[in-house]
Amino acid sequence: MPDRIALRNRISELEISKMFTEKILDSSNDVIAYFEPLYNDDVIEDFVIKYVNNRIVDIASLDTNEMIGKRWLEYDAQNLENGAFEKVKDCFSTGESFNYAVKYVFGDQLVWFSSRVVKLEVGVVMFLKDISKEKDYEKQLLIQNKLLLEAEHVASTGSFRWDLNNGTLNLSENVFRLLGYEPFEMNATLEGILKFVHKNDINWVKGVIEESRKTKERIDITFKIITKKQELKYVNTIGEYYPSEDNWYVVGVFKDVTQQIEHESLLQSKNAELKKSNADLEAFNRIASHDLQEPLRKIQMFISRLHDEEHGTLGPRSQNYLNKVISSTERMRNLISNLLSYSRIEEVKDKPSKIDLNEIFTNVLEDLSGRIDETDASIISDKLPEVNGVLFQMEQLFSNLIGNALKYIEANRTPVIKVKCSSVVVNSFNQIPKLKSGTYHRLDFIDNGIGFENEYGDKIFEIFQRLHGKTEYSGTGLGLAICKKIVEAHNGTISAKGKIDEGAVFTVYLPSLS
Amino acid sequence: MNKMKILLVDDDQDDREFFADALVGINLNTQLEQLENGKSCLEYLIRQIENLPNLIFLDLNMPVMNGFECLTEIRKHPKLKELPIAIYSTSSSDQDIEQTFLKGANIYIKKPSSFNDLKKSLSQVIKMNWAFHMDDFKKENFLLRI
Repeated sequence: MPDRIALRNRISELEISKMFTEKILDSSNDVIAYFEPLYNDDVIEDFVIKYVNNRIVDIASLDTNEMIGKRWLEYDAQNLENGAFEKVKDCFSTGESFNYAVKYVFGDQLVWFSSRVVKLEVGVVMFLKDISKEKDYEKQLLIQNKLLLEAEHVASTGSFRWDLNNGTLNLSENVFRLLGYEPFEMNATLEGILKFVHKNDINWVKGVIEESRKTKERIDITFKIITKKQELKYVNTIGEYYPSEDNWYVVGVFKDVTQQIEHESLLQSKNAELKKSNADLEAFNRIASHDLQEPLRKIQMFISRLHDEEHGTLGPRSQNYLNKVISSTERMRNLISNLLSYSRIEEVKDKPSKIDLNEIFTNVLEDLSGRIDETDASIISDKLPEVNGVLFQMEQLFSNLIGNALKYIEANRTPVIKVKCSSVVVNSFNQIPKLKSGTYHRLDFIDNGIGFENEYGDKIFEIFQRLHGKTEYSGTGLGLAICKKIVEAHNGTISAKGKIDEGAVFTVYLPSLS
Repeated sequence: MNKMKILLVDDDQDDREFFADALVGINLNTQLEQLENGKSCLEYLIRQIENLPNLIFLDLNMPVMNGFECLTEIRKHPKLKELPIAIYSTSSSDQDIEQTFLKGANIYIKKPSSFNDLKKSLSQVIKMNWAFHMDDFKKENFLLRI
């Protein structure tokens, strides 16, 4: 009896131990399987799955009961393709253990395992650790690295990391290309890199590096290099110091700015040329118009004396000729004096003063009173602001704009001119061409004159642009050019809109005092 | 009554002729002396130090010595510095006008472009009571523009 009890106890102990072992195996994070070989003429042709723990259910949604007892390759042919069968066979034949990475597809899911196979008595134990996530990260890292390299290539930049502790310099592929080498073709050292710096820049570059080593301040310099292929390039280098555990390291970029520098210098020389030719033109204009005044005045003087002395004795044709000469010289005098005032706008270095535009408006109406009375014109204005400016220039601006409105009108129409005023804020949401951010006064000079086609809106402000024959409407072609120059000298802009036979609006923006 | 002595300094012969004719035309009791540049003007004034003109018309743009230099020299000289001086020039630039004012000119006449206007300006300037006005010019420190 005691034997039977002992035997029962022993059996139940064994059952408990088996359950215990299985529980332990199932609680493992790895898939654990045990295989025994199947022979065909002394050659292993497959393995029988003797055991697999429940972890395979979580990872691959496979049924362990279905797997156990099956032939391994028959159950899943992937084991042949991914090399797992070979490894297990080798392990069994040689008794060696192997570690390897292996790939499975379960349904639409790709799973990477780190696998270890160990021979155990008449079979092989396999441990599979799911490393799909790690594989994913690795792949992403590779993609990002590739992206970075491509970006550097596209942007003509390269990057570096320089460790001050041991002097090692890590360079990205593109740094080598910048210097005319294939990636990693030469040894990367600071001294090696400095050899490419142009001899005119080398001392300065070394100085900057030495200084920054002391101060740990950001490096941002542009210098010339001579590449392996003897090309001259301009390189901009930015480096930033970061503390490491016991020293500092510098991370930064090299950028090939050769094209930029070349474009810039081209632009600068073009600009200088333009400035010079502009200055020449202005000087010519000033001198020409000033020197032209002298003989012209004399011509007018002689004509006036001729007129005084011969008046009444000349025949009607000769008198007509003389009158034509008088009006032509008067026109020429106007032209020259306008040219002079145009060329002098920039000359004026007067300090701008606070100007009440209402006063300017009143003064200008007084100056134009003859023409206003003649035409019975009505001219009204909103209350106008004070601005910073040069007094006589502001007077000229108002005089030209209102004078034009009186001049360019059909003979039988009564001029109606309005000056409207409003305040405008210019910022990134409300941009007006050529104006910086800030508050501006907007002045609209609205008339009911002959107007113009809007396509001429810009042209009318150019010097010597006339839209009408001078016999129709007198004008020198300078009035609006002078207006434009005055407004721009006051940091404002002027523009115009028109409609044939209905009128025109000239819009002036001037900076507000506040 | 003594004739008013007027000195015109201008290198342009036509302008001198216009000036002389206009002076005759306005028929005021004047006597005109004409010179061609600042240097001959200064030499003349030194020679005539006991018999100075009553009024000088001075062109600006002249060879040898221009109007600005001549004006400066006259205002430096103890016996000449109170002579009434009218600038008579083609220039209407504010810069020139300001310069002559700073150097001590009393009147600025822009050369007119008609003979009638010239006669008007000259008669206006000559009819001024100069003995009286020079005190004003000194006291008030201003430039009369015509």
